[in-house]
Amino acid sequence: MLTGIFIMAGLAGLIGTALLLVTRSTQETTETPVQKINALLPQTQCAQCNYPGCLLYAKAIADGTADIDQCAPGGDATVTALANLLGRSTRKVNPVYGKPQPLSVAVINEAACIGCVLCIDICPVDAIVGASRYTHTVIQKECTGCELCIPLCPVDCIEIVPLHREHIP
Amino acid sequence: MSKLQPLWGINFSRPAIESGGLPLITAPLPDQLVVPLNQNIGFAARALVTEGEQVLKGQPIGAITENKLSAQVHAPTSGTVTRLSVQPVPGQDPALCIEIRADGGDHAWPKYTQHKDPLKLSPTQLHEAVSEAGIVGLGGAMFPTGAKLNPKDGVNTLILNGAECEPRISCDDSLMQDSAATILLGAQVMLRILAADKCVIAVKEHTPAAKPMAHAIQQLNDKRFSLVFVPALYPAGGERQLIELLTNTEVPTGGLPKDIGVVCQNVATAYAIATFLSQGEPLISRIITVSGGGIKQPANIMARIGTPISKLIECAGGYTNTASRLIMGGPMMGIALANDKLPVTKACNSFYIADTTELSTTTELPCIRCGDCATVCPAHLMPQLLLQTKRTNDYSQLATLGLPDCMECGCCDYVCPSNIPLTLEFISAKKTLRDIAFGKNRASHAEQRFNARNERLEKQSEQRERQLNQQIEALETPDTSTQNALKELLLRTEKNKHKDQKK
Repeated sequence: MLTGIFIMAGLAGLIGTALLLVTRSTQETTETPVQKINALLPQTQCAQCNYPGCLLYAKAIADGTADIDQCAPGGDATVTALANLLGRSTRKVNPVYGKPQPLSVAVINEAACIGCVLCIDICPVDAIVGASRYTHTVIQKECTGCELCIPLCPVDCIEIVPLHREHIP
Repeated sequence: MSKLQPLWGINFSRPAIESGGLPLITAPLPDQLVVPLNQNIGFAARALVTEGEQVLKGQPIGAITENKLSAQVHAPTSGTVTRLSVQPVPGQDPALCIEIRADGGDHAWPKYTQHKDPLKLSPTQLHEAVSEAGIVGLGGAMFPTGAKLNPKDGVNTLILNGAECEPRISCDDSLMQDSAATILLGAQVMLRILAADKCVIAVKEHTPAAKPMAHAIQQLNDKRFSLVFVPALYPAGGERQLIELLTNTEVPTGGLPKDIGVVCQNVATAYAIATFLSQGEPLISRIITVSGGGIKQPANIMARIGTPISKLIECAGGYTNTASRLIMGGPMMGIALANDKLPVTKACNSFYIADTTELSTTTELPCIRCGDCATVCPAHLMPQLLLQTKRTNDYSQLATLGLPDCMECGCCDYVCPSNIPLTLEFISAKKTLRDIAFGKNRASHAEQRFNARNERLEKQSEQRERQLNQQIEALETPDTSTQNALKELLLRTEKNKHKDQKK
């Protein structure tokens, strides 16, 4: 009788410790919900979702003030990923916030550029180089194709083109 | 020798033997050749010639892109460069191609030395020669051989792959029958470059090449060489599958064979190295199997790079009436080409002309979860599960299920009783996975830059505010030094006044 109780108690203790260790080791990294949502966004910082920056949109989603279908550059894939993360039903991007586009970059027509620096100031990722009264150019590798510079250009010399993807190993 | 028997693959032994005895013929020199510059897996070569220029056979016409994975390209024959233009390349993206009109003389470029004993050269010289000859993996992958033969990798075993991966391809087989000794010389060169101490030559069971190869090894009398027979299974000749068979070790996911101390090279690559060193001829020709139900006289054809595919078809007697598809590669992994005007590249090991009876007309049925696909998968994956995951667009799960390890061999398609085009789905899913990874990289890079910019802007505005505050402060609090100066000035004027009065 007594040995039985001891064996069972010992087993319970052992298994309990083992379970505890397993849960501890497999526990997910301590990412906040906002970080998890932000990781799914394309980080174009284009503000097409009406929030100035992807992180702020992520915060708004987490607060429940914004819906998950406002990211046009991310496209339907991002909406699906967000829906999966948040356990909601998936849908298409809300056309109010723009049309999903392929990965693209801005290109400056350097012959027409007057060097006004307006685009340099607005670029959220510092992808445009140049100086006042000198022609500007876009560093293709850094550009997110956010289109923020387009409406600012006084001579309309910036164009959005599909990204020419280099060889990816 | 122990019997190697893998737990995957499909036995196609019958057609493989049929194809093993194809005659080896040399294609006549065409009048017009088109040489693509992107004949390697990395970056395309840079054109060295202009329109109207005279070139000689073996003269470099494309130089490697510096500090990048790339391979040289040489003129396949002597003649005049007629045009440089972007053209479609079989199995690859369109690229800049150099068109050459042959003068028929086939005059060789005299600047390459013909070594009597190439093994007397130092490993560094040999390594340079391999890159200079524009040699790439001739099994079909076109990986620059110079980059693969890195003595710093600590490789101890060289595997010479003579076990054709696909059924019905026998270009390596006929090469081994024809020039086993040259292949062994190339292997010795590679061993010297790698400072490796073992070379295993793998050939398929029951192939006609086994005897001449064994004979050549015996004659060479080099203890480092050994011959191994692998079962006539598809895809036992795939690089990773062959390594697993021979060494009992799997190449890790995302890793390379060198990670387990092995380098695998095709026999044709070894042949090309030896040919360059002993005869001074860079990689400008290769053997191509032309076979299938849609061709009259299947054959192995030695042809110059840049020859139009239609010339090879002519050599093989032309199409039959039932020919319906021109496939580059073998019947399992090959890709259908739009037309036969395209040029032969270093990657073309075979053209398979399928006839109408070989094309599937079945419709897809639901998966019955029989698991046959999992039993044949050479990458030890579970295709049925991958398919389900792919069709629910769960891409993060696909990566953990090992989809990137899929070699697109088509075994699962072949055995599927429901005729599901599994490989097609996996090829598309692999591309999407690469796209997702690319997007993720781009996103995290953009995020970093966005954060850095915000930090900088914040610092700037803080600094501006501080300066502004200082100025306001200065205006509000009377400056003692100015007041002192004023006092002194006042005093002085007072004194001056007194002086004036005294006068």
